[in-house]
Amino acid sequence: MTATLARPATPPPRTARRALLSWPVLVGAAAVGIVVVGLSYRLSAHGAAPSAYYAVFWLGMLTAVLPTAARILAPGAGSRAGAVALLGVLTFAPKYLRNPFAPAYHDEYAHWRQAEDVLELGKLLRPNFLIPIVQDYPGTSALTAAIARLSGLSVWSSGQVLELAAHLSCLFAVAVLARVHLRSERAGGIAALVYGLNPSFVYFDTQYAYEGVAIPLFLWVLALTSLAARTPSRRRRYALVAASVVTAAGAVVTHHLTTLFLLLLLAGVAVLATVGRRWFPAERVGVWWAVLGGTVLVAGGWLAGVASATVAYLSPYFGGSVTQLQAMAAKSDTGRVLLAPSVQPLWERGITALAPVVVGLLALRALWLLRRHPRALPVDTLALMAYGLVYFPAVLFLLAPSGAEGARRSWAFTYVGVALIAAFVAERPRRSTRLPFRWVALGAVTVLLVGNVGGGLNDPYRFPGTFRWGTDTNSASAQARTVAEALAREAGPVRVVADRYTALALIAYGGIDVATPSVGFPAAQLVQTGNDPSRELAGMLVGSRYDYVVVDLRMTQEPAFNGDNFGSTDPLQGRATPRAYVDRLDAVPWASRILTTEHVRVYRLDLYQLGQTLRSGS
Amino acid sequence: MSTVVLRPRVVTLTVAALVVAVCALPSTPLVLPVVVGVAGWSAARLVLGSRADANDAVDGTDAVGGTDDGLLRATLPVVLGMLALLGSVLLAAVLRWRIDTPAITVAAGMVALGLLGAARWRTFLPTEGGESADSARRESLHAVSRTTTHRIGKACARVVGAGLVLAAATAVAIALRPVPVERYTQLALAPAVALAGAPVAARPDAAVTLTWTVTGYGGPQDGQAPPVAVTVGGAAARDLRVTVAPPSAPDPATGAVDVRPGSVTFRAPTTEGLYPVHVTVADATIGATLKVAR
Repeated sequence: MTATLARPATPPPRTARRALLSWPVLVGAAAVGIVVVGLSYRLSAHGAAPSAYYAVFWLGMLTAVLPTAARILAPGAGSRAGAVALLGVLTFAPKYLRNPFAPAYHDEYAHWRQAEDVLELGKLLRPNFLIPIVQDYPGTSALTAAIARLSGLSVWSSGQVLELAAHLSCLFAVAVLARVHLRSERAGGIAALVYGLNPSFVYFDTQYAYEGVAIPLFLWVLALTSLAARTPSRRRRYALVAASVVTAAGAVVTHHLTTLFLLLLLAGVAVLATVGRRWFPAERVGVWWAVLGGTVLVAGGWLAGVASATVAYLSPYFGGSVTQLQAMAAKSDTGRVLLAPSVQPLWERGITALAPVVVGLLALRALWLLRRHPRALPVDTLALMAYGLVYFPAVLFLLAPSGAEGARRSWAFTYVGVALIAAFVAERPRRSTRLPFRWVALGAVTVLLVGNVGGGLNDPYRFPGTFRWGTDTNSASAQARTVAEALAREAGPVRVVADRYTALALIAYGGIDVATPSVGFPAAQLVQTGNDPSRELAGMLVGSRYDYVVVDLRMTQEPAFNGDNFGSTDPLQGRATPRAYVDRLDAVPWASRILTTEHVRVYRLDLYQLGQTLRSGS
Repeated sequence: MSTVVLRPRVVTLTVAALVVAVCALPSTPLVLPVVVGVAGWSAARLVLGSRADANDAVDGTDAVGGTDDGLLRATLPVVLGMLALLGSVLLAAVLRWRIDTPAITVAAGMVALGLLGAARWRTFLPTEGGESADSARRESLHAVSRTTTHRIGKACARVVGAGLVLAAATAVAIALRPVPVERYTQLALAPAVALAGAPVAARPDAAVTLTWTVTGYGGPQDGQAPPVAVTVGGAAARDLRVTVAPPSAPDPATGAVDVRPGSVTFRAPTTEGLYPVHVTVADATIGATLKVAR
């Protein structure tokens, strides 16, 4: 065979549109967009007006993402794997640029410390003072430790490699899932694109924490189980079921909430598919039951043997949020305030409100199409799409303080159903529509991207900025870190009472156990009142060996951005700590200031001196 | 069309030798990609089988959404490879090995070799039609066309090129961020007193010495000795003597620029009781409780 025969004599003419969506153009646009996002961070770090850095941020993101989205949405066959991978990199970049070299988010401190402890002590399941439940879910720390040891990278860089791999894997899992259910390359690309627009995808799930590692496993379980249900070869089907259960086991040892969502979804699909096969076409329903059974066994074993504290850890979120929603329905004032004072520009908030509307329109369109062709899809596909509708009631839980966190975390799971709905709608043939599909689709992508990111994490999480007391991210200071390291070096892994922002540095960089104040253990009284601690509290502090108090004087200068310095039992909610409350620690016999910087002070407690009188004069 | 002919047995043995070699070599950057790659590829092969005997496509031409789907076969090995790595660490923990480089390397290598062997074993299983898919004695040869290798090479070049461009853009974006440098000092009481958790004991009118250090971060401390003041019970200390050393190099592990040790010696009050002592160095103050008793 000669070269002249292998190729056409004249290559087909390249249209301008194809050239615009060529790989070099996509990569070039992505590179420019990433640099512009970096510029927006520079502006925010210098304290520029929020309207300026928000606008520059979205200029960069849209420059980068829209050409890639257009490539994925383009009609016709052809692999979209490159564009999907590029989308993964682009949705990872903003969080990576936010703090490329060290932890900054609350959960990142906990997981970074966990991986450091695993490597330092050579054992999994180490206690975690920031998020105690992390101890029982060693998947993230084990993988980070392995990557660090086998590659020679630092723990933080290894975590970033792990998160990037997991992030890309999410999109490919959704693409495979949609290809399995809708039998189309384009559907796979569109599903991955829409999943990549979910509210947690750009910032929350890209942080170095267990969700980001477990969610792709959740998605791969769905993809492999769906594939198994459609595989005629028995041997391959069994192998795929086994692979699904092993993947589910990976999720079980990595993250509790992902396990819970996985179990609920597998059970939901299995039940719906069993019941619905009387009316709809069905693939092998037994596969879903087999994977559910395997996952239940693994999860049950893990809960019973290792992670028995999980139930107690998760139950307040569910019970509390339902109670709060009921209270709100009864018009009490326990809820959160939507559109509360924020530096977020009004236009971004408006687009945030528009995002559920777009998803709603997609769902209505899917219902309309299914009404006309009710047997167009197998029942497990319908069940997964129905699961996507859970997105809408979850939005309600944003209003409840305890439910907001869970609602936000549910999006990463429910959006897989939304992605299938969108891919199904986009793949259906349209009859003589005058709407330019591509532009409508790109408009919807813009709304979902801007709106969902806007509805995710708040400004201090998204943008670097000048020091702002009471945020997890922008309250971090070198002083707190060096004090933590000095205290750990001189005193070892001691127990400390500190505000929850300084606590991040103390735990992460010092391995120090910081008290968690509660109604029964009101440790915050040491700093948040002008009185000596009660005898009862002093007894608890001495008995539990809480021998130090660390205070950051910036808590006296402004109220905490997050509303409190010591959690929900802080007696000074919404207020700055009076300076006199901190300074009085220099004038009591039971505390001595042993270390100080401009802002951070460390006091050694000697509560046996409580009630003694200090003399004056030398 | 020219082809490269691969013998599965030779390929398996070569890959196994590669795994053993990278695990045996001390700290090579190849360990991670080789171990994860081999484990993932083998596990995917174990689950999906080889493309040649795939018969699950919807029709003869379209493999999308089936076990022969190219995207599935390209991405599943990465996921299964990471799961194998996780399983390796958990295995080491179950065996009560210390989680360190040798343990992780050995466990990951063992898992990769085990999966490689299992994937190879799968090719010997009879197909569901009853025929032997492959046999140890007479294995079928796998031909890879040069067109395929050329296509894969081109795709790899595109990916590497894009990776380099995006990495450069990321580096530029990071460089745009200002790097804030906090310049401050940290004044600390000597650990022997600071960590005792009890008042400093002294007899009336006895000499009391407290030592301290000032550690500079973000920039060097002033070369001149800082002013030092001491109060006992709110009044100026009696017979105060101050010693301040010049700044010296700190322990590199602390990340500090310099460290300046110093001490104060003064007379304890003549009356018994508990007294607050405050030592002020420049504009920073630390303190202790002084217990005067006979």
